[in-house]
Amino acid sequence: MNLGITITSWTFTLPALGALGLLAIHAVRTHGWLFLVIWLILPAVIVATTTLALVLPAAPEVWLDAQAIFPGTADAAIFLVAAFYLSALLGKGFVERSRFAGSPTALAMLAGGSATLFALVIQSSNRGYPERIAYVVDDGCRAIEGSRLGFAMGSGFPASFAASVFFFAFAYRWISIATPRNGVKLVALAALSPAIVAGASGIGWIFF
Amino acid sequence: MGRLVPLLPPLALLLLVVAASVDGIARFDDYASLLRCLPLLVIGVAYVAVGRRKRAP
Repeated sequence: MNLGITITSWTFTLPALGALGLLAIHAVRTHGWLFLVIWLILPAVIVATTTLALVLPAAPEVWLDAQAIFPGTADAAIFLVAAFYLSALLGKGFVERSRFAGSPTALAMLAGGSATLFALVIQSSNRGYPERIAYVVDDGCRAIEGSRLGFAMGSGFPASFAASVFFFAFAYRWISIATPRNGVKLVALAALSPAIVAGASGIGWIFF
Repeated sequence: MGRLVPLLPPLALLLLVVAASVDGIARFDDYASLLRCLPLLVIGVAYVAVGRRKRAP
């Protein structure tokens, strides 16, 4: 049974899973389990919408539309989250050691710069997606349309991915500073990742 | 283990960079993927170097 998760590039997916494991250990040791759960919401949403769109052969429009908002396969989602987390981490690591420490804007700019480089790396590992997804869905036009939005996150339009990481890092830092450690803060942070990805995909959709 | 935790993000970065390079070459004969990964490697090394300088008194 094809669940729609087309992991064909093991040379990339296995090391990406390993990297995600290392980042998960880092997140748990430095921020706690709840932080990790918040970060896992993003790949879960991406994989769930893609799977639903591919599992239902005569998929209702709503699922295809959902996939257009959260495009990508499992390995793309894994790399996307790893790139998001690493970009934010690098931005924080550099800015906290400078005289701009504590500034959301400086952190977001450095994170966005790192994200641009990640987007260039994605470019070298993301080329098979339109063909693979079109083959599985058997609805070429719509599937390619959806996966092109995925490209907008990284390879096709690196600036879009960098912008999404910039806004994410800025909003995350701002929420982190502005709110005390309570339930509202957790809900806001949990909603942030999917919201930013949806916003960036929407921007990419306009440009493509 | 505690001392290793700060090194985990650069290690993950290195893993991803190597994976993307190997994948780009293996699947697409795209040797330019190595060049695309170099800036990330430089950033990773700088991250570790800055972190070590900060810890030194």
